[in-house]
Parts: sequence; structure tokens; C-alpha cells
Amino acid sequence: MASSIPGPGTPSPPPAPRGRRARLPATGRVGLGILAVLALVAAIGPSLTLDPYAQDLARALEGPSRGHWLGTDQLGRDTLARLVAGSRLSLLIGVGATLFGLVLGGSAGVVSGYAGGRLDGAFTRIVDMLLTFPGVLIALMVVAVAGTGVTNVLLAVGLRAVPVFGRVARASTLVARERDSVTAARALGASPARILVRHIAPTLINSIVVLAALQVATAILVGATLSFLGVGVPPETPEWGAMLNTGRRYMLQHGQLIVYPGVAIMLTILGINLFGDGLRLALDPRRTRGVLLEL
Amino acid sequence: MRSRTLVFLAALVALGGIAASAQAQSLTVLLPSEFANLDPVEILSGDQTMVMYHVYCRLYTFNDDMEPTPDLIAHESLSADQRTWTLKLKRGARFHDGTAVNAEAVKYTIERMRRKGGSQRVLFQAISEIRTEGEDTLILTTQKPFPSLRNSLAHPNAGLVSARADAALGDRYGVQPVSCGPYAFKEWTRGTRIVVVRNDAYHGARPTYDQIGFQFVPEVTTRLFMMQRGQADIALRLGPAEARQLEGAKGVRLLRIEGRNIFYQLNLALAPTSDPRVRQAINHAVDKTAIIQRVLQGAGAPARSVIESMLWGHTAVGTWAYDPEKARQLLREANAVGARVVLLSPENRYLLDSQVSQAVAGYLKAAGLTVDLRVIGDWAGYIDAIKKKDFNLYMLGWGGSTGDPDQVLQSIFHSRRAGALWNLGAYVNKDVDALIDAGASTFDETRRRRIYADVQKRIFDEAPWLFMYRVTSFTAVGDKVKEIHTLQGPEFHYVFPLAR
Amino acid sequence: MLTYLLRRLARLAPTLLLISAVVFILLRLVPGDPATVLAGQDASPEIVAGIRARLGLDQPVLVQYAVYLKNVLRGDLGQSIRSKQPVLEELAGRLPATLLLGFTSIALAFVLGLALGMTAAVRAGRWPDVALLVFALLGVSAPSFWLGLLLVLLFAVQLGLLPVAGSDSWAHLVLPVATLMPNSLAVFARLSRSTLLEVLGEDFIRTAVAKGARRTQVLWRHAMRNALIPPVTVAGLEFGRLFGGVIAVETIFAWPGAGKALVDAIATRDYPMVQGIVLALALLFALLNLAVDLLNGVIDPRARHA
Repeated sequence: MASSIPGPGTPSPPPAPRGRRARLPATGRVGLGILAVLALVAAIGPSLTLDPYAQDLARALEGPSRGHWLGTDQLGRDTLARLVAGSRLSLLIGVGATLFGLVLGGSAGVVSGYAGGRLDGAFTRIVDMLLTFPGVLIALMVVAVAGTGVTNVLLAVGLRAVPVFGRVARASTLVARERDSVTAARALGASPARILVRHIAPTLINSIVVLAALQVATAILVGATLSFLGVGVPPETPEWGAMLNTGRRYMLQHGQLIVYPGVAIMLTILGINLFGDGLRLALDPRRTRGVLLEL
Repeated sequence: MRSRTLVFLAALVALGGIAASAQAQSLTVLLPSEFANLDPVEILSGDQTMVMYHVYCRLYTFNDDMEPTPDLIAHESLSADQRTWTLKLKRGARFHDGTAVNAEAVKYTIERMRRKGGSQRVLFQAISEIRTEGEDTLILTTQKPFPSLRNSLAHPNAGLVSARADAALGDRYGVQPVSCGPYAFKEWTRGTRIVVVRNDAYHGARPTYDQIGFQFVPEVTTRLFMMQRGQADIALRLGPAEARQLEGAKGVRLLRIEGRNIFYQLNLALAPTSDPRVRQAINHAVDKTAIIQRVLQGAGAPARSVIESMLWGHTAVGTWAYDPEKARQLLREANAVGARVVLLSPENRYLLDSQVSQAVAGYLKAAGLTVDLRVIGDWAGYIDAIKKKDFNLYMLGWGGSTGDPDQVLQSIFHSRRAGALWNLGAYVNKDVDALIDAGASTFDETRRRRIYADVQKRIFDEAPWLFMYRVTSFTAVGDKVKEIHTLQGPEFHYVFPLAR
Repeated sequence: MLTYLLRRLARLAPTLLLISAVVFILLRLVPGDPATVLAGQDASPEIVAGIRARLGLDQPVLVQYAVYLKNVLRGDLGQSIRSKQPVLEELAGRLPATLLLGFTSIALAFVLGLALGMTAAVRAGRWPDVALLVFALLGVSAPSFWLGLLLVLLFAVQLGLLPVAGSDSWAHLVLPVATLMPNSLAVFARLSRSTLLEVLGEDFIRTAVAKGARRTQVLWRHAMRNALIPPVTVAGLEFGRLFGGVIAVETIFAWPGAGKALVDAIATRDYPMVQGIVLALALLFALLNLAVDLLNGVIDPRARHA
């Protein structure tokens, strides 16, 4: 999502002043609602639905029925069960990959921004280079090398996010470094590690949290794209992108197969975007509008 | 704003319509896959073969029953020891660059294949000596009597190469081949199409069309759609669902192709599939009929032997009935309940291959095995994976492209190749070896048939495969196409008159 | 301006060097041997070894890379393992199709996005604005490959209106572009709307209005120029993102471009092709970003010194 990559002109928002309660705007609350439902489905859904792997060829490609609320796929597997199982996988890949990128990219960015000098120059150069490169391309290369499977998709998608977090963390650190509290701590002889952890990291939280929320959407999208291209998770896996890839072969007989997983992806990303944008608004008192939604 | 957009869109559509209107006397053929080149030393795929069949000529060619018939041969004779063939070539045939098609050119082609280490040089491995006598006479000596020599020479990979063009073009030869077929190569737009034009100097009957465009359209729905709208004259490898859409369509007829024999090779050198009872259990555990009906949507027929009916030696030995109870029983006897099996599957190599493998895995699980299904999307990676030989089952398809059973038996069941491609399952049976060798050097066809019937029965009983099905596909053919020939096993067509 | 341009161009070299090295070494780690693929179904180990030697695959990785680099500097990107043709030539056949698809999509998205965004800004809070919001939300949330499938289902299967594959005429562009565009269109529309609103609230605009300038005149002469900057800035990034969709869209619509060629090359372990395509794309994206920066400099002189 472009909305998740702040342009060069947008410095990180400073933390909300204490005492002023950050309030999520209505759209953000809608997003939060969607995400809450999704999280609930991912958490307890699989225990309520049928086995997403259980095949019954005699009941292949059926429409909705009492036994199968959303019908079945080409192997007679329950579409609803696969969608629900897919929500868990999508969230796992989305959140997991984002955390991976956050930890790696975030810490590199903070160190680089704080250290400055040559190191910072090289870091900036590399990050800028990687950012001009399409994320899908980076993920595609990683999967080509590491092979397919859920873990590798997670790593590939996560690696893609490293420069994104690196850039924002660095930019925020540059601002934070010049704060009085940091200068004072340095003058008092605090070690760089202590300064980073105690004084700089907390100031980054707002910008990183907003970015992370929105990055989950991108991660889910890139993960689904890999599976759609057939280089992501194994084809029997109930993953939304993989379901679309398989479903399109049966598109003529059973168009439903390409509708449900797409709607699931769209709703998820919609929820994240609404929530993330609302979060940005709530955390940045100077802002009167988010990027995406402002009305 | 909106109305202007609509006008713009309408103009685009109109432009597209004009561009799409076909030229007179030209054919558009839709192929599912593109390939690297059109060089006879390279890998074989049905789509590649189809184009090569129109550009290349060979000494022999296949008729509709996949029997080799003379094309450039005026006269053939075989020595008393059945090892020396004297082939007299027709005069007057020319390559597209004008050089003569003579005995020297054939010798050059065979030696080129050997020099370049082409994938199909196995076709000529029986030939120990090549001599030419004058312009037109070629003398081939084989190590042992080799009855399927004509099949080898009719094979698409035995297409004749113009030595002059080969020398002049070097590595470019494969993408602008020069041979002596009914159509001459014109151009190749990567990712889009290959165009060939009529060879007016063709030695056989005059080719029907001015030009043929072979267009690469990977999506099956797109091939269907283009056929429905009259944007194409031939569309290959439609599934049953697409075929149903075309039923009763005006100006379109459907050809049913009984294609490759699809199976899973079982590993006889690795537990638990080393136990014959486990192999039998696997064959009983899988409901092939349901897979054909549901997963393939009817696009197949149960396999009845290791040699399928596209080859002349075929004997319908039988099928392993779906009997889950018996499968469980056999597994219990073999003490293999819960045993882990590794199942390897390619993806997008054969019709719905990974879907079928998922279904098979489901059945094996139901029978009481623990299945580790690994789908490997790229063919190179797949070959690497099966060569590690840690599989219990892997999927393969065999088309019988020489029209002779010797090829499949030598490749998959002779112990000489045990542990190597394609006998990776290490099938070893000395009696079967002896029979294969005997069949390969026996000219008497009745005797050969008997030998091969025996071989097929013996192999079937040992269950070295999970026998699956012969895959069916459909080719849609438009009105404009008057004459079309089909080679079933290799799954392709040609659209020029058959020699004589 | 010229020195700035030269400096930026000079900075490209190490970037490309780095990318080529990373890609080269990564690809050598890939399991799967291209020689085996080339040798085919019945090849003996000797044949495979011969092919490996011919391709130089038996050399140490660093030697292979040094040779590769030397050749690249001479304008030789190597030879495709599959087709045996120069990679440069293969690229020349593929890249234009991708560029046509990419540029048409991004240009249309930009122009339409700006138009929609401004319409919404001028009518802020009224129905066109709300409609745009809904569209933008769906636009950024729907994956392009899914949109492509739905369009195929609708136009090809149900309506039988537009060609769904190939690249023979302008009509073939319609569906792929319609698939790729909405995502970026939504971003451009929202961005131009918000910046225009912001600009309209600035003092100099109020002053101009107060001085009696006509509303449309103010809008075109003062507001537009400023409102263009953010969309132009993100255009470079947007193009990169759009390319992610291009790979899937080329596959769906059989568009003979570089994205599809890349997926094919990865699948067949055609190292030289993968390297060539990635290098070409890296150069493309780097140049695009440079162009965007320059364009920004033209619109907003302050940006030149940033």
C-alpha cells in the first residue's frame, strides 16, 4: 500500500501528548470491527468448521447446501472450512512477516540514524535502492532461492518489509536524536545503547505502529500473490491466493470458487487500511486527516 | 467525461475487431505452451513437436495409426543378418534454403544429434555406422537387429537439418530453423507466436494454407473464448468443461485425443513400497474412476497396462479395482498401517496433475498410510527431487512418441537403467530384461507382440506403478480446417496432406 | 541541474553492481540444475556434465560472476539457457510489452486519479466525494490478480466483449490496464484530493480569492501546481508497486512481457535470463525514480536542493 509508505515530506508524527486520549475515528472503528471479527474467526473458527483437508470426490464442485454452507471445491472439500483456515494463515503470514520486517528493519534504521556518518550513508543508499524495487519481485527472488512453503513465504514477505521499516525508523531517529532529552542524556554520559533504548525507541512507537498496521495489509497481499503465481504455499494448503489459483481452473463450471477467497482478501485489507488510517489520525494530533480516508 | 471514455473504449474495441479478422488462407493455431526452440536435439513437448512437424521433414513419417511410412524414401532394403539397412532417397527434395536433401544431409543430422548430446539421441543409439553411397544412398548398420529403426527415423526429433543453415546460423539455428517440411519458418515473436509459410518447393502434396500462425495461449479459458469468437481455427488441449461449452457451436468440431499414460512410479528400493503387498494396497486404495470423473471432469480412461493403446504392442492386462477394505487388509498384513510414504507431484506439467496428487494423497491417508505430499512447481526442481530417490511415489506421464513399445520398456523397466532416469523406482526383473532385449531385436511382428504381451502381464502383477489413467484432451477445430491428422500419444496434430 | 543529473546517474552504477552481485550469488544457491533440464528425459551423466561445462556452470561462483560482469560491461548480458539467444535480444522482445502495459496503466491512473481527486476536492463532502471514497477504499483493497479474474469472468465468459489474451491490438490492452489501474488510481485520487484541499486552505489562495481572482483561475493557476507535487512524488513508488501486479496480470492475460518471462525463467532455472531481467528492471526503476525527482524539481524548484 502506498499509503503505508510515507512520502519523503512526511516526518514521523510525535507522540500524542499525555492526558489527551487518542480516539479512533468512525472509519477506524469500522476497520477495527472487521479485524476483530477476522481475528475471532481465525482463533476459534477452525474448531467450529469441518476439516479443510477432508476430501469427498463424490461431492466435488457443489453449490451451497446445509452440509457445506459455501459449497465445495474440486476435491469436495468444504469451501467455508478452507476460507476460515485461510484467515488464520493469512494473519499468520501478514503479522509474522511484518514483525520480522519491523524488528530487523526497525533496529537497523535506528542504529543507522543514530550513528550517522558513513554507515548511515550506505544504509540510506541500500534502503533507497530496495524501495524502488517492487516488493513482489524481492519476495519472488527469495522464494525462488529458498523454495516454497509457509515459512519461506513468511520470510520472503518479511524481507520485503525490512527497508520500509528501516527508512521510517531512521527518519524518526534523526528527529529524535536532536531532542533536548537525548542531548542531555548524552551530556550526562549515558551509553549509546541506553540512549537508544530509553530515549529514542519510545519516540518511534507511534510512527512504527501505524506503519506496521498498514504493512500487515501489504504482507498479506504479497503472500497471496506468491501463492497465486504458484510459488507460495503448497497447492493443497487452504490459503486464499492458492485457492484463487486453483479455482480459476474451474472458473467456467464453478465461478464461486474465485469469488469467496477474493472477497476475503479484500475485506481483510479493507479492514486493515481503515484501522491503520484511523490509527494514524488518532496518534497524530496535528493531523486532521488520514491519507486514505480523510473526509 | 464519461461519454468520451465510452467512445474511446468503443473505438478500442472496433480497432481490435479489425485487427483480429483473419486473412484468407491462413490458419491460427492456439498452443498452450511456448518452448525454447525448434531444434531437434532439444527436449520434446507436444506443442513444440507440432510446430516442428510442419517445418521439418524426415525420412519416414507417421500415419494416423502412428506407424512409420516412407516420406523421403524411394526404396529400402535390409541385409540378411537384419543389421544393415540400405535406404535410397527420393531425388529432388530441397531444404528451405535451396540445398539438396541427400544422404549426406541425413548423415549430418544424425551426427549433429550425437555431437550436441541431444535429449533424444537414444533414438539413434542402436546405429553403429552411417555411410553414404553417391547422392541418394544411405547405409545404416545397427549393433543388433533393430526393428524399430523406421520409428526412430520418423520421430519428430529426427527432423533433417540443413548443414549450410546450421553452420551459418550457429546458436540461432534453433530459433530460425531451416529444414524441408511443408512449411518454412518465417518469424517468432517471443511470448506471442510463431509464423510459418507454405513451402512452394515441397516434395510432397502441395500444403493447403499460405501460412499458419501458432499462437501461445496458456489459459484454457482464453483458448476457448478465442475459438468461440472465431479468432482461431484450432485450439489444443481443452478440458471437458471447455469442450462442453463448444458442443453444438456452429462451425466448430471437437477432436478427442487419448493422450499420455499417467501413473505414479513406486520405489521398490525403499520401504514401505518395497513390499509388494503395500504396492498392491496402494493400487486398491485409490478410486481412479472417481478421480477421472470428478477431478478430471471425465478427461481420462483408466490405464490397463504399462503400454497403452497408442502403441501397437498394447495388451489390456487389467485394472486394479477400488477396494479400500482390501487395501487396509493388505497394509495390515504388510505391517504397514500408519507407515509414511513420500508422494512427489509436478504442477502444470500434466492436466490437473497437482489436483490429482492431492486426491491420491487423500485416498492413501484414508487407507491408513501417512502421506507426505510434495508438489514441486518447476520441472527442473521436480527432476532433481525425484533423482534423490527418497520418494515412494512420483507422478509421470508417458506418450510413446516413437510409436514403438521398445522405448518405454527400455527406459522404465530394464534393469540396465535401475536407479537412473526413468527407472528411478529400481524395478529389476531379469526375466523381464531378457524379454525386453528379445523384443528389441525381433523383426517378426507376431512374435514381438507375444513377447510384449508377456512383458506387460509380468510387470502389471508386480505393481511397480500406481496405475492411473490415460488422459483425454479435446482439440477444437474450425470450419476452415479441411484436413487434420492426429498423433494421439504425443498429443498433437498436423494439417498438411499425409505422404501418399 | 546538469551536475545534479550527472551525480544522480553516477550513483546508479554501484546500485546496479550490488543488485547484480546479490542476484547472481542468490541464484547459485538455488537447488535444481539447469544442465539436467536441458539434457532432457534420457540424458546420461556424461551428457549433463558436458552441458554444464559448456555453460560454465562447473566454475566457482566468483569466477562465474567475474566473467559475467566483464561481459555485461561489454553490453553482453549472456545467453538464455533455454532459447540459446542473447538475453539482450530476448529482453528487447519482452520489455516493450511490459513498458506499454505499465506506462499506460500508470499514466491513465495518474490523469484519471487527478481528475477524480480534484472533482472530489471541489465538491468535498458531497456525493461525488463520498463515491470516490468508497471507490478508493475498494480500489486499494482488491488484489489486482483477483480483479483480473473477475474481469475475465465478466467480459470474456459472460459478455464475450473484449479479447482476454494476447497483445495484437489496442483492444488487448483494455482488460489488463483495467485490472492494473484501480489500485494506483485510488491512491492518486485520494492524494490529489487531500493536497488540493490543503492547498485551497493556504493563505496565498485565500489572499488571491480575496483580491478578487476568479475561482477557476485560482484553482488552475495557483492550486494545481502545488497540488501536483505529492502525486508526482509517489508516482515512482506507485510504478514499482504496480509492477508487482504486472507479473500476475501478464500471467492471467498471456501478455508477452518481462514479468511473465521472469516467472518462466525462474521456473526453468534460466539464470542468465533472471539476471538480465532483474538488472533491466532495476535500471528501469532507478531511472524512473530519477525522472520523478527531476519532474518534481521542475514543478517545485525547492525540491532540487533537498
